[in-house]
Amino acid sequence: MKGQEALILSLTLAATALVFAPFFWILGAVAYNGALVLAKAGLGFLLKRPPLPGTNSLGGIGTVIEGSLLIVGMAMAIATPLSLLTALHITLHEDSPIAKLGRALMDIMVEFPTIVIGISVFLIFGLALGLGLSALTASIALAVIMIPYTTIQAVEAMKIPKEVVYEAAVALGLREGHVAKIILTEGKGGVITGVLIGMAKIFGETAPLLFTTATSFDILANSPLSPVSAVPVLIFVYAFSPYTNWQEVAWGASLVLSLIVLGIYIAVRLSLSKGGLRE
Amino acid sequence: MVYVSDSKPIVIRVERLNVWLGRVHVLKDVSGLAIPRNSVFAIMGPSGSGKTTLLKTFNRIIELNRDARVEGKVTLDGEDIFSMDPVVLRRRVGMVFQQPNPFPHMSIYDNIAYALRANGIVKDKARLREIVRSVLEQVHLWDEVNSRLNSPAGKLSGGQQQRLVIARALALKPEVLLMDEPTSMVDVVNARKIEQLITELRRSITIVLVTHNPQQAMRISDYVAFLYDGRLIEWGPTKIVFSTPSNKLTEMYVMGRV
Repeated sequence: MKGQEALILSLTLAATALVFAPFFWILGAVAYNGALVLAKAGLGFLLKRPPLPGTNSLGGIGTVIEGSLLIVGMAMAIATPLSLLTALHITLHEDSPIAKLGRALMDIMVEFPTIVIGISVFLIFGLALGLGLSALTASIALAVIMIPYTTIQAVEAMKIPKEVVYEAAVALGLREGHVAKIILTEGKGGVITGVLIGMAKIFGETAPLLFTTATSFDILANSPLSPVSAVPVLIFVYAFSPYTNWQEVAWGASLVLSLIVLGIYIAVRLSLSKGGLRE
Repeated sequence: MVYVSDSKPIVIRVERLNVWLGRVHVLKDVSGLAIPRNSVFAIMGPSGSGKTTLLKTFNRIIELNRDARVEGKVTLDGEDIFSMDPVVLRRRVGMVFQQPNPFPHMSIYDNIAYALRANGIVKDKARLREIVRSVLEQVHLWDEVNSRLNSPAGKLSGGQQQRLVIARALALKPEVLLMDEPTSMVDVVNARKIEQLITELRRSITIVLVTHNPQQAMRISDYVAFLYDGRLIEWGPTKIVFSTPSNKLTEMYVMGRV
């Protein structure tokens, strides 16, 4: 029996190590190559414009960081209220057919290929409605991707408050809006986590941006209708280019993007440890 | 069935009340129940007899259950509660639940003040503070919490939480306060404090108390109704029901044999 236990332990340990390996390998490669670039380019890398191809210059990724911040910010402005209102409806009317349908749709949408969302948004908003390759088109695509993540998390976060205080709030003669405010307030740790998880998801999202952003990276977007470019698309294009300096910039941008997403996940873990979803 | 013979005005009347939860017929033709004003009216009965369902019908919170179907008549001061706006009804008929359920992340102060502000009852801050203090004093909680009114209500003990939610309900000045086994989830000391509070409150408010404990009904109620399997077996002044029950089932229940 002891031999069998040891065998199972070694198998599970080996499987776990195998799962860890690509994570550390990818992270290690990005950290090493990215750090070399950042060390060479300095902090100006975060602010400068991208370099010309085939030169010795590294320039920076300031324009695409601005583009990413703009479209992620706009996507959050669109997705957050929609997600929270949907989550509230699903929570407060969980037995109603619309709430049940809403929950099922969210579960499907969260698994939906993001490239399909990208091309659909491009066809509808970019072409049919004439928004073109603009920050607005890109942010709509990202919002569509973010909504199910944030909604599902927010519904889960409000589940316990619903069980614990919903009847009490209704029994006080409060109207639905005030009841909703109490449920939202009581679940706010988990709701904020949901918004952050949605944000992390869309920050690194590439596929839908291939259809909705420009592949010229020296653009500073100054309005929602301006063309815009984003960090993940720059990485995609520069990594596949034949120019060494662009490939280096792609490594540097990969590290910056990883650090941003990692930062958001650390914020998520902190909000979880302060109550969040475990409440 | 025993009928009340004194002259106290009636607050709640129940006629031919039937309630179904899904396919289960929970309350079966409850009729002739009349709850006198400024009294403690206990509803007792074994588990599954429909006590809580009856209580939840009085403020129509039963309707939160989509499977619930209610037929019959319940009046509040002569007005049919089923034709009233349920939100308005619930401001007149408050409720305290078995499980203490303050809003745990909200401060002790806001637990009481929130509904007053949200319902537009009190806007003046000084008046709000006055009410918060007065209801906390009424439930004998002021001395225990006055130095930490801004801390979250979830940090209070179970017994303190239950007294806080009673204060929260009282702040709205309801005519009737429904209490669903309010002492069953708290310690003995707090249970005694809550019983004491109930007897004090009857001077200004009508209390409908659900209890599975006949001794508690005997100790603190003026009137008592006995429910069994969804039927109203009998009701009347507590002393009479306990000393000379008119139904064999009631007699067996108060003697602890059902």
